[in-house]
Amino acid sequence: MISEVIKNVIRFFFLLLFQVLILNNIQLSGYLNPFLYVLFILMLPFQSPKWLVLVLAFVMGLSVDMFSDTGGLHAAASVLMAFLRQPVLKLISPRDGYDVVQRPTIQQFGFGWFFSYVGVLVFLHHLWLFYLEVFHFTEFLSTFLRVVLSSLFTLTLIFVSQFFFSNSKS
Amino acid sequence: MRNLILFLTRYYYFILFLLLETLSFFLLIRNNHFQRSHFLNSSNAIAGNIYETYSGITDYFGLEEKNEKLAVENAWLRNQIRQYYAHPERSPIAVRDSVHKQQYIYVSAKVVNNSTNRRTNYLTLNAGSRQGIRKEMAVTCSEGIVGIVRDVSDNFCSVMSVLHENTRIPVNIKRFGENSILIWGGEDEWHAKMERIPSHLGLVKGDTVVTGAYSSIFPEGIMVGVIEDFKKIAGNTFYNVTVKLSTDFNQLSYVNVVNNLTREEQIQLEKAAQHD
Repeated sequence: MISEVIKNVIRFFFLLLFQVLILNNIQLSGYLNPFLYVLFILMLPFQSPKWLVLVLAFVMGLSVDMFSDTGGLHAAASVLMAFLRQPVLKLISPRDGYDVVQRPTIQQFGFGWFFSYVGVLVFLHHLWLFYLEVFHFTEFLSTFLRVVLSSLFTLTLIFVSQFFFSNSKS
Repeated sequence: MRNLILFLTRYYYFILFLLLETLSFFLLIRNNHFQRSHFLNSSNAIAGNIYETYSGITDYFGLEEKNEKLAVENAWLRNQIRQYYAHPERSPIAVRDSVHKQQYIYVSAKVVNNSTNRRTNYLTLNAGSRQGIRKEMAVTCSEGIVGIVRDVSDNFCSVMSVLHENTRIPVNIKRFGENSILIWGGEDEWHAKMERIPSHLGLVKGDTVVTGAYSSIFPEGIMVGVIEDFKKIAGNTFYNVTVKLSTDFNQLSYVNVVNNLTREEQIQLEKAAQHD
C-alpha cells in the first residue's frame, strides 16, 4: 500500500517534468502535441477512491497549466478524463470484474483491453483539450485533425513506455 | 436539511466533478484577461527557476549557432563604427542634443522558456521588476519583434508572443507608409496576416513591413517581416496579406525589452480626451 503511494508520487513528478521540459518542446508541427502526463491518471490503481482520482487529475492538470501558461485548460481536460474513467472501466470490465490488487496494465489485461481503455480516454481528453483551446468551431476540421494525430502520438508514447517499464513494474 | 445531506452524499462524485471543472473554466477564462493571477503562470518562482536551470543545460546544444549569430551581429556593429569614423561630420556629439529627450530604454534579457506550437504562445524571460521590467513593455530581438510583457515577478517576466491569437500590433508597409494591424491566424510560427490593405497600392512580394507609429508599446520602424503573398477579397477592393515574420521564434535566446519612457504621458492624454 505504502509502496503503491510512493510509486504514484514518483510517477506524478516524473511525468510532469517529462511533459513540461521535454514533450512541450517537441515542435514537429502544430498538429503533433503529445500529452503523456495523462498516463498518471490512467495508471492509478482500481481501489483508489473516486474523489481522489478527480482531485489528483485536477492537481496534475493545474501543474501542467502552471508551466505552460494555459490557465485551467489542462486541468479541465484532465478532470473530465478522470470523471469518465469510471464509466469506461465499467463498460469494458472483464466477466468477473476487477480484482482490488490488480492495476490497469497491459500485462494483466492484455493488449485489446488496454488499447480500448487508453484509446478512448486519451481521445476524449485530447478532444476536450483542443476544442477548448480553440474555443470556436470555425476551424472544425483542422482542429479535429490535431486531435486525431496528437492522440495517436500520445498513444504511441504510452505503449512504448508500457513495454519499456514492463519488467521493473510486474 | 436531511434531504440535502442525502442528496450531497449520493451525488458527491458528480458535484465534485462539476466543481473542479468550473474552477478550471474560471482559471481558463481569467487567463484570457489581462489581469492574470500571479501565482499560476510560469513567471512564478518555482516554474521560473526550474525553467532557468533547464535552459542553462540545453543552451549548450545551440552554442555553435548562437556564436554564429553573435559574430554576424558583431560584424554589423563594427561596420557601423567604421561608418562613424569615415564621416567625421556625423560624430555622436552632433547627435546628442539636449532638445531631444531619450524616449526608449533597452534592457537585455535571456529567454528561459518559449513555445510556438499553441494558439496562445508565451515566453518567459529571466528579467523582472528588479531589472526594471514593467507590464506592457515591448520585446524585440536583433531580427524583429517578439512580443509584449504581460506579467512580472521579481526576477522573471512572462511575455505574450506575437504568435498569440490576441496579437494586434500596429504596423506600416514601409514603401507606401500605409498603416495596418498585424494579427496572427494561428497557422504556423513563420507567418502572420494583415487584413484590408487597399488594392490600389500596387503591393509587390517582398515589400518590407515595420512597426507603425500608432503603437504606444513598440518603437516605430522595427522590422516585422516581408510580404510573402496577397489575395484579393472577392468583390472587394482590399487585399488580405500574408507576412513572413523576420523573427525566428524557434531560435530565440537573447532579447531586448523596450521601455517607452513617454508612454504614461501619452496614455493619460488619450484617456483624458476619451472622457470628453
